[in-house]
Amino acid sequence: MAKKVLIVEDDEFLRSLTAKRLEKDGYEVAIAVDGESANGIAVENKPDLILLDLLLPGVDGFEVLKKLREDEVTKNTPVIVFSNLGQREDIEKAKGLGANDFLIKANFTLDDVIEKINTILK
Amino acid sequence: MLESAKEGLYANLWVIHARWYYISAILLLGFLANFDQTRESGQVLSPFVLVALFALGLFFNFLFYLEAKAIERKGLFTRVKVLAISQIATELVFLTGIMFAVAEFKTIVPVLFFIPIVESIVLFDRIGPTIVSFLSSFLINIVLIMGVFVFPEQRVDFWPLFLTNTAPITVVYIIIGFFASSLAHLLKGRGQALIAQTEEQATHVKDLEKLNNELKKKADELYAKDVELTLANQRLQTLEAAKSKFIAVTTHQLRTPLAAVKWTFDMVVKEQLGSLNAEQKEFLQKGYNSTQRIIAIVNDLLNVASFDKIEGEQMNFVPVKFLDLLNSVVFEFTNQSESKNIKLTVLKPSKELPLITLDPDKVRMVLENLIDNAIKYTPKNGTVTIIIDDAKINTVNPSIDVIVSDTGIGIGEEDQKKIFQKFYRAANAVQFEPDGTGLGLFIGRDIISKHHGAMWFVSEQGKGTKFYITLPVNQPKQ
Repeated sequence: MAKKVLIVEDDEFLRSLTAKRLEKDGYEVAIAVDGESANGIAVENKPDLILLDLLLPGVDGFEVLKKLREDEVTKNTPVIVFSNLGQREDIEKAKGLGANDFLIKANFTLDDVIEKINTILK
Repeated sequence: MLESAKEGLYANLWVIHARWYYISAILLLGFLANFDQTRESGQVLSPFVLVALFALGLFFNFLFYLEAKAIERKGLFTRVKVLAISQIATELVFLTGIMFAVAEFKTIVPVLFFIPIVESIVLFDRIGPTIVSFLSSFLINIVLIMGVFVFPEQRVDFWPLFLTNTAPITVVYIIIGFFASSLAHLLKGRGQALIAQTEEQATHVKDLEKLNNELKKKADELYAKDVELTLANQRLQTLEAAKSKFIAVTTHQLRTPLAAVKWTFDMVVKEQLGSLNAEQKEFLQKGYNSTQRIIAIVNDLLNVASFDKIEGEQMNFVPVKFLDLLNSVVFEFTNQSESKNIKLTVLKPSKELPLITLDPDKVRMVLENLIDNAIKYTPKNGTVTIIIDDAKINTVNPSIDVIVSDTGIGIGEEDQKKIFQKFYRAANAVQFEPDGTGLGLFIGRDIISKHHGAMWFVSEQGKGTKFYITLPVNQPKQ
């Protein structure tokens, strides 16, 4: 069975690009476009991995992450925080809240992202 | 000047005041003498004459009093001397008259001349009492001599009279005169000294008042300046905060579309969206590279903003296990050093280090910067060694030394002088590794100095660099 990845990202272009790439590599994709719906969709879809953007309208990524770790269904799901916030405090905070990894979108290519996902879901 | 004139006036007033008393005393003496006279020789000095003289004396004294008060009220201090002289003169005339009327030189009357002499000590300076003395002596002798001729009943021979009375009287009065004068001089000296002191103090007070006013003015100016500066500082801080926020927000906003562009280029160049011919590939690669450059610049800007914020921050000192901190920093660089095949080692002392009081976030930044530089500027297959030296741990001011040593490109002599400057990057560094803000060492040294430590280096271009940090174990109490 194909592994499922949930993409939580508010930018439409990046979201569709990532989704297309993931599908091409054989992953099943679920998407959430903002923080509020993210947790609900996660619980509903039960993904094997979550790509979480931090800068989201309304409820921000940190909040989503916190709730993910509090929910029985999603508390052990690997989360790659996937953002353009690159400050030390942000990285520390994310790691502290239970993120498995932190990637700065502008510094990595999609290939690197896929590689990371593959490694975690192996 | 005013003070001495005032003093003269008060002296006159004192004399006038005393006079009320002693002319009453003289009146009494007069009556007594009269009584005595009546008993012995039957000569009578009419009591009416005595009372008349007394009344006259009172009258004159009253005139003097009015004059003195007038001077005081109107400030006509030039008339003080005149008043003094007229008092003495009037007294001398009175006493001469009394002596003449009593016509008995064996009475107490000659002694009464001491009164004007004493007064002159108070009213005049040096020469005054001498003159009054001489005058008194002169007047007494006149009366004596005249008495010989006017009162033939008491006639005595001139020469015995002269020798037994005039001469001694004159001599005695002369002596008294000189004594009185020197006393006057002494009193006057003291008086003048006191006046001089008072005047000097008055000048001092005026000077002090002037100084005080100037100080007040200066204090007001300082206060105004302080308010100005505080306002300016607040504005500056607001500006700084706004600038930082602007840079931070903008860079984040820029990064999102930049990531999208980069990914697109990447996918196309890797022919994931269809095959390309060589030319297409070449140009698209250039596009990708440019995007990379923009991203690098945006990253740098973000670093600048975050460093600016840090520059003004206070240190948050806590006791820390330094070795743990260092090890966690070194761990961050394992990937980076492995990718360049650089050997990264930590040499620690055999004895366990005490807890070191420092700001862990800030010191982490400094260590990261030094190790990052070491790896960045060392070519492949080089070595980076970090040494903790605890030689000074048992001294009066215990401290540790941290040395980051590399076999990299080194820092040229000219660059060494400027390497700690804000935004400065050595030419060979820029060439070797285009990426870099030139802020790391600047911020690093600032942080270390806020820890009351020191940061310096030894380097040779082409051979390698050693950066030294000294960190005191304890921070002085705030």
